[in-house]
Amino acid sequence: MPYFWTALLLLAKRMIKHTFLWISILIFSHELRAQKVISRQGHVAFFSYTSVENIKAENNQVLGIVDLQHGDIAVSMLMNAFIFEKALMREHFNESYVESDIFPKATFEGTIQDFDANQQEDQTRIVKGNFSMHGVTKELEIKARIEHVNENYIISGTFEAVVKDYEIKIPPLLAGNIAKTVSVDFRFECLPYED
Amino acid sequence: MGNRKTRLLVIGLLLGVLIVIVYKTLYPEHRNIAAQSVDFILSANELTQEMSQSEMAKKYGDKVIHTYGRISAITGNIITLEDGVVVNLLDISGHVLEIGDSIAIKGRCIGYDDLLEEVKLDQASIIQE
Repeated sequence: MPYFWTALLLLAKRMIKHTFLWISILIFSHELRAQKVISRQGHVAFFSYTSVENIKAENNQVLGIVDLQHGDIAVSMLMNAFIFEKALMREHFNESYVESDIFPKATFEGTIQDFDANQQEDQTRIVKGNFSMHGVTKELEIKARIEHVNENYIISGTFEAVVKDYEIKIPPLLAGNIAKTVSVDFRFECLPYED
Repeated sequence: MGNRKTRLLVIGLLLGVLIVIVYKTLYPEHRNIAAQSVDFILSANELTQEMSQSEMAKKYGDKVIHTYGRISAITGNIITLEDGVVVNLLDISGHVLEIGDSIAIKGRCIGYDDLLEEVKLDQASIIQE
């Protein structure tokens, strides 16, 4: 008799264990299906307006990945990929200001606050995180608009960056040509990402 | 009378040439990668291997690279070679590209993305299909 109970208990234990395993696999695989969205051609542009001249640069090869479950976001952009109106501006930018041979990229890692991936209507959210450029990391809070179109998410917004914060040195001769604060536009059209 | 006219003309011409020279040095033309000579030739796999070391960014960054390999993905004018080199082609018209094709391209290396472990090239043109 005791043997029977022990066997039954063992069987029950195994069943419970397996059930848990199957349930977790089911949940996990379901989550994995559309857990992340990615934008390989994210758009980041910055503008510097002064009375002397207006400078605009665009980068259309920015990488952005969003984890839909937690709202985590990672952005990586190569400084060399910024396109300027004038070749000399690009040269100054890469060689003197952001020193792209030493600091080839800028990154942002953060979380979209109160993000609801299932919401169909547009949502405006604060993205909190760390932005690193030119070897300097700053904590930023950026307002972003998130549009949910079918399985895609479009994240866009604008923020201001203070040039001095990133230890970017502008020669006195050109100080009047470059704004103290540049405005940065971004737009990421994210598609479902499969590993 | 005529002497003064020619003098004015010469001064005007010199001034014009000077302005053009100053303008050209202040505002040089953008690089035309397709017309520039190649700095490095290496396979897509070798390039990914090399660029995954962060100290290599300086060696290849902004340089004209000739690379080759099998196409592993195509999205519009962006193709991926050997799952590691992402190439932004300037113009794909006149080319029929398919996944699995071997291709050689020439482009500017803009750097390495460790998020997806990819090397990125832009302003690229197809050398050989």
